[in-house]
Amino acid sequence: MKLTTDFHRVTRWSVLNVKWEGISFVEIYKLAKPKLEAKHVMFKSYDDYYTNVPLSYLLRENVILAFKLNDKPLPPEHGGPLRVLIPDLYAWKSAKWLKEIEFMTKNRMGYWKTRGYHPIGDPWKEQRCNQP
Amino acid sequence: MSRKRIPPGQRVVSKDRFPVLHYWIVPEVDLSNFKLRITGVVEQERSLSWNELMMLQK
Repeated sequence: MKLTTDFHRVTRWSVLNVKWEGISFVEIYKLAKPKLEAKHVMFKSYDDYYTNVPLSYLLRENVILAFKLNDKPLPPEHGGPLRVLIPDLYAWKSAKWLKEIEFMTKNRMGYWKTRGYHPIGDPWKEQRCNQP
Repeated sequence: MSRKRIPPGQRVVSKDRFPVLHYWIVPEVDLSNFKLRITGVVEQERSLSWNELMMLQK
């Protein structure tokens, strides 16, 4: 699946019209057959990073596991060979070097959440940090 | 589009200046050893090789 997106980082820069190619998260969902009580997903990376995302943000047609960037294999510095891409959330939710997808019934804190970042991270709501 | 393209408080940078941010080192992942594990509350936990993963393309 090919996708051209804008990418928004919590550090306040955005890149427009980035070309990605990957596997639709919906295909992973169909293969995994999560139980009805699955409501959240934890993405775990080869570098021991992990980040949690509500399932409702993942079952959208623009969420992919990306393996190509601008028609070339995704370079390691951009998260290759495989990374998550969730254009609707800040980029820190799009885990690089993906190695595991864990379906969860309850939310659990990700790496940055434990360090004060917002649990969802929607750029349109400026959910940068976890403010009271 | 019904809403602005750039979310509040963001600025646009050009693609050739696409910043790369890490908090850690870049891991080397060899495709021949690559595995994607699918775990948790699923019907059956799985471990997909790179080739098996590529077969999921539509």
